[in-house]
Amino acid sequence: MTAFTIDREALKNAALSCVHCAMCRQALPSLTKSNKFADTCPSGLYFNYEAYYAPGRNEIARAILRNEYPLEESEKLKEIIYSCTTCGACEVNCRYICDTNILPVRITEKIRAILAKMGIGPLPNQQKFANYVKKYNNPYGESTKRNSWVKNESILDKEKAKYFYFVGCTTGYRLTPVAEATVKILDLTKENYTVSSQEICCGSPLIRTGQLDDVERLVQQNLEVIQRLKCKIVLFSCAGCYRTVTKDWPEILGKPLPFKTMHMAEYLANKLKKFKFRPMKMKVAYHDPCHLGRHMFPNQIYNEPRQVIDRIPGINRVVLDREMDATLCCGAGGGVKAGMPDYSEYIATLRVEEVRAKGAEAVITPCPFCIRGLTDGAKQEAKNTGLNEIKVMGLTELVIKALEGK
Amino acid sequence: MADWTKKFENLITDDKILSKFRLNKFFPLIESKPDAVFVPEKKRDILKIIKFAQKNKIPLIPYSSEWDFHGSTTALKGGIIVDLRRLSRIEKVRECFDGMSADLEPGVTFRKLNEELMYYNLRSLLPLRLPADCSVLSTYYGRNPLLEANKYGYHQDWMILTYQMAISKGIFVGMGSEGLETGGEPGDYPYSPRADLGRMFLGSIGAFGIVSRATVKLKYRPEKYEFLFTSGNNLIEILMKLRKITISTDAGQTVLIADPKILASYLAKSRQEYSDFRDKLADWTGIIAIAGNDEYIEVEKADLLEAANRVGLQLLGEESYPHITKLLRAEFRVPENVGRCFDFAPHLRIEFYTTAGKLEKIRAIMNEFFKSIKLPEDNIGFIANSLEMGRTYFCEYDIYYDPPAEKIDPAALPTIGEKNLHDLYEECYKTLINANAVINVPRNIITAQLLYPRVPNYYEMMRVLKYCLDPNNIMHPSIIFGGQGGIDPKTIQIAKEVTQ
Amino acid sequence: MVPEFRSEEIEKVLDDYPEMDKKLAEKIVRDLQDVINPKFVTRDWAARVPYSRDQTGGGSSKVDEFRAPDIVVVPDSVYDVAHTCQIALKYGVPVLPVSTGANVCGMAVPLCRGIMIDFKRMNRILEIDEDGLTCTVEPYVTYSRLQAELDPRGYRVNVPGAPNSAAVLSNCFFVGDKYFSAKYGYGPMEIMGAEFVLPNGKIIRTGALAINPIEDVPEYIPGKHPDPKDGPGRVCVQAFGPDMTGLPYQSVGRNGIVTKICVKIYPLTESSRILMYGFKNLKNLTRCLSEICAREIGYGGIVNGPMYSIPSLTHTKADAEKLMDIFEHSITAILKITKSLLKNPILIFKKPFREVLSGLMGIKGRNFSTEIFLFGTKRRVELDQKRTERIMNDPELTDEKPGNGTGLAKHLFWGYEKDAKPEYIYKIFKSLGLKDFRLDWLLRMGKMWDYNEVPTRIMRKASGFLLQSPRMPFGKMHWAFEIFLDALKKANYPGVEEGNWSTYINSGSGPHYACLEMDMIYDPKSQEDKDKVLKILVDVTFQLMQKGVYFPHNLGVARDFIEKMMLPKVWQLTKEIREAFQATVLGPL
Repeated sequence: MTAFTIDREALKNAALSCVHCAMCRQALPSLTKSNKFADTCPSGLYFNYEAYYAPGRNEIARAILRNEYPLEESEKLKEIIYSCTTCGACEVNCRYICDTNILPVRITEKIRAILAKMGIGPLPNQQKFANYVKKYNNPYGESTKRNSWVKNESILDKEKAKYFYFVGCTTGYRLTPVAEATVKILDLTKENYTVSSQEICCGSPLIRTGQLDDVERLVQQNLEVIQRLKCKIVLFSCAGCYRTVTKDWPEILGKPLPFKTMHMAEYLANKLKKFKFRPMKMKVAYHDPCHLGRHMFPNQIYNEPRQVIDRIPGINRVVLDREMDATLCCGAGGGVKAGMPDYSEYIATLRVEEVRAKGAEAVITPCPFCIRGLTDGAKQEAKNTGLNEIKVMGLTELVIKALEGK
Repeated sequence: MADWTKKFENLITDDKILSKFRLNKFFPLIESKPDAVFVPEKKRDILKIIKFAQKNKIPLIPYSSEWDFHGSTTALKGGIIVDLRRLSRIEKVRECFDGMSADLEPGVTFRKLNEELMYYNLRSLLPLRLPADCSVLSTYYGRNPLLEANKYGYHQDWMILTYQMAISKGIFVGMGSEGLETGGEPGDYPYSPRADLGRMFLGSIGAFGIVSRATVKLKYRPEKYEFLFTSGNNLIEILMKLRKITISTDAGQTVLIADPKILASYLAKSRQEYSDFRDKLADWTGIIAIAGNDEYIEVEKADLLEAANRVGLQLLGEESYPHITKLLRAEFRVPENVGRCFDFAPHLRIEFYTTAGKLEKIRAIMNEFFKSIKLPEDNIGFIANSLEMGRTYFCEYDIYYDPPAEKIDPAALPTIGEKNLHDLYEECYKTLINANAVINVPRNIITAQLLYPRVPNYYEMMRVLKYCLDPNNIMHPSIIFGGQGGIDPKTIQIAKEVTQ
Repeated sequence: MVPEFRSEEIEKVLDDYPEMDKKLAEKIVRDLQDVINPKFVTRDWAARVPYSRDQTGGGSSKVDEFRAPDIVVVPDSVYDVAHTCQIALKYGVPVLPVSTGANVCGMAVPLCRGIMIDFKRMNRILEIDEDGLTCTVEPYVTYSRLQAELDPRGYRVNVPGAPNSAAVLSNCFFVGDKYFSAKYGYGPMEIMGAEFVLPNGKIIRTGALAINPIEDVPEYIPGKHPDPKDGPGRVCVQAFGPDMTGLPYQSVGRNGIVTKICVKIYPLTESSRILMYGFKNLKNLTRCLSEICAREIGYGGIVNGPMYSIPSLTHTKADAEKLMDIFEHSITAILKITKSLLKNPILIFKKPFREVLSGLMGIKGRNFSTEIFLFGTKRRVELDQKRTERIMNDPELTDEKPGNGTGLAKHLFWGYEKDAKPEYIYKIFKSLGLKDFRLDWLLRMGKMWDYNEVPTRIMRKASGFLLQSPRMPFGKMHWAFEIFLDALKKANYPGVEEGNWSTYINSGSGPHYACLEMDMIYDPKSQEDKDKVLKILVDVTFQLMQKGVYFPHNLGVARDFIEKMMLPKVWQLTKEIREAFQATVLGPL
């Protein structure tokens, strides 16, 4: 049995274990005392039917596993199953209520895998990125050399460096400023690190959308690259890659990882003493990426990025109504940004509205995917309100700005 | 005399007795026209008279005490007055662990019940401005407000836990747990499954059936009452301050503010005393009643005085009003004067509910109205009584008229200002309703006809219910539905007017 | 003679409600879409299936039967609901509304199929009225969201024993018991007015909403929203004459669909304190609690039965078992606590530590615990604590000396006292060997009585949850409880020893009546399993009913049978009234 074998009976029992307590639809009151910003399930917020909330998806899982209805007769099935951003907001409450085998996101991911096997899922755009991964080892279909943004070639494929900076596809191909800022920081702290030209997709987009055929290959290939360079710590600037490597890889491999993993937020918090920030007058909000927070339970990374931001003189960090475990997803997770762009943008806009409501002018997040989602949301929100666009910035970018005094 | 009166044993048709039910000195506006009186000796007798009335299509008007200030026992369509005063058994008293309640027949008065309850150190909650000889059941069932409403709120509906009602089919139906027919003694749970029949029938003043027994809530008897006073010339200012202090302290059994006329009628035993009080009292007197034992009263008093200090309200103790205190103490145990005053200060009561923020506007509109009909200020009394720490206020305008030389005849009512009593009463309510004051139960045909046109869907729904419970319209037809009776739901079309 | 429970007979009724013909369903969908946004009307099975289960399972007695509605509507306004009712009546199709679907025990499962109205879009807090002390909300507003809006303004609603995810509207209309019911009464006493749609599509407004309806507004903005004072204000009376608000009570939308509710709000008090006591004997406890309610001390209190409160303190079954073991066996507890003290001797000098410890020892080994809610001014809270202590030690009321757990309550419900230190509970529990006990999770209990997050945790322990909640005077509680316990033992109910059952007692209104909730936590793997657990509940119901115990709401299809047997006259009268309003078309069962 591999990590991807699905025990249908166990899955059905897990789905049937949901007692519809409805705690998963909103943030727990102990986590937010907000009425306006209380909802945390993105798909529920957008589509409104019960089916788009975790308990609804659990029942659909049950119906699929018990062959209750002909799957092809439903027009909404795909939309329902693939509209989950896998943000894990429901799981937080589920887990808080009791130790449980439900964990709705897991069920949804497994149902996606079943649908994918049957040829019913995923959504067309999501299928596209699986094909790209197969062909180009990245979901964007980029055929250029990996990490060609690196200017200082001496850091490329260096052996025995302390840190292996796993750049990831989104940062490497779409958000190079984040990668460049990360490298700048590592240079400033005189760290011994390397960036690999051989690194490939970590598997996250495929796992989240249930397209599992190629995942094992990706993991193995990446593992070989890291081990070949003999690095002790793999460092991430992408929350998605960090979560996949830290949480999914050991499951897929069936054994612990032969290296430590660390996200840049942790790294920065550890090295705070080494930085001399210049004052920056700015009111900012911090957006918790789901993959750095809820997905990492019980080792959520919540305090470290906040410590970093708060250390910068002149910065005023506002507290949002939905933060940490109660954070609202940026709307880009779970393959939703590719699969359902309108809905993804709607959720991002809601998040930006929350930032605006607290009077912040910028939102900081340490995840390139969140940056992309929120940037689109900020544009839309500015269009809706006619106000100046809220700036969206990576944590490493903010740090560089504060260091450089720009 | 109608033919049917001879067909049923024990129907009283003696004109002397009937005349007592024709004229009501507390509500002299409409003449009642009963054909007969029936006095049930046992509860089962109610079913007998219902079956008879059903067969002969004769209206039945329940009657449980002579204190009808609002004309709710007026028989406009003729029929039989069912005088329930002899059904006056206190069937059971339950102490704390068993539910702290009493099972009563409709003729039990507050006087009788509270005398009995003294042995248990219990009491029933008295109504506001009603005498001790009122029927407990019809007072609660008719949703009259309570004397200690500041603490217990609009609980009068909830003072009845469960009840048994005789319906037009000639059967008794129990509401809530009273409906349990499996044997054993049911507890006192008010809500029936699938629909709260209790809430739907309360306030129908006999139009849906005759209440033959009810279980009412009881409370512990407080060791003593103590009073705090305030006075001034601005009603709204006093009211708002009292509201603030009671909300912040959750204290006070009763909070009321009255003008000298009403307060005097509340305290006096004779015309002379009444006049004396009227002259001496301030424009507005606010009274807070506290009840309990010494340690409890001490805490509430300290809280209230501290809070009053914070809002700049001068609260005075009993020592400043010794005479009034003595009278109030008696009235809070056994209310007598509220009924007695009709002999030397007869008046009509115009009652309404409103919120603190709304009262000033309503009073301005009413003052305008009184001026427009040249009603002398001396003839108008006003009282505001706080419900649930100032959530809502129960208010009354009393319209005083001179004691008549003889009995008042509805056909020749006295004139005050430019209006006779009947027109004045009707126009007061019309003005109040237009000023957005709220009437909870239209206790007579005048108020019913003013109120229901404002809520046509609601009225139609009630009439469907009336038809279901009483298709022949024999249960007190002249109240609530003003003789119109129910509507057969089959004649109602699916609503068409609903559009987005 | 207790009638025999035959689930097959009851289930036969369901055969009359097969799945709707596809063509008819399509036609109804088109008719509905004439008025309602077409996006929010569907007959797609994937959108229907989610409504086929709630916390009790599929609602029917068959373990593997899950009945889905034929059509789903997600309305945006009362007009959408009215239109749905008209169309349903036209075609003679049942309608069932669902708001949050939490804590409903099979009531939100469409056993007769038909049209499901999902209220998710009607989630607005329409008004907070500080003049009449009311708020008006739509069906999907939950307790947590309403409390979040009220708290900063200095108010609260009366929160139910149901989870915070329960809707205010449905909890009140389903006569939900509240934590502060002893003072303020059950759900219905909170309702000051309502707007509902009759089966014929007519919109009825009652009480405080009768002549001053609230227009549908996108969100509540103080100052911009029309002031209720400009109308008649929200006046706390039942209007007019007979109060028609009673029709939809406990009917779960079958007599009429409620679309707005106006409920009371209460000012927050200056001071608060939660007292806790442990008793071995239920009769002693109920006697004391009824006296506390009758004396109007604080906001009354609640009772937790065996195993109820302990699992809710923990997060995993292993931890719950460990804690229960410690609580039941004094020696283990003393040994473990001594051991932890040896590790941290300095703790003994800390006041919170001593308080928590004495609280723990107070309820340890006791079968039942009670929490008494004291709210008010500082003076009142102090006095009420004294009065409570006097009652708890009154030999005329109790022949055992109850254990005092207030020290634990103080630091557990830390949101109610200024100098509470919940971290001490964490330290002690951790030192007792609880593995999965987390401080952040413990902290979430702080405002338990305002933001109730815990009760679902009990439901979730073994995946299923069934309950009956008869109402009776406190004086009947102890023997009713014995009957429940006997039935569990006789039926050899799995997990009796492990505590897969519990009780919860809440005063309904002062000492006048109370609710004895009898909970069974179960996980039916087969029809046999399910029959067994249903049989226990039905047996207990019948036995208690024959002794005069009243069951106001019963489960699923059995409901009609039990009510007919228990209250034939009321059942008949209610049926006639329901027929007059054509409610039997909307909700046949």
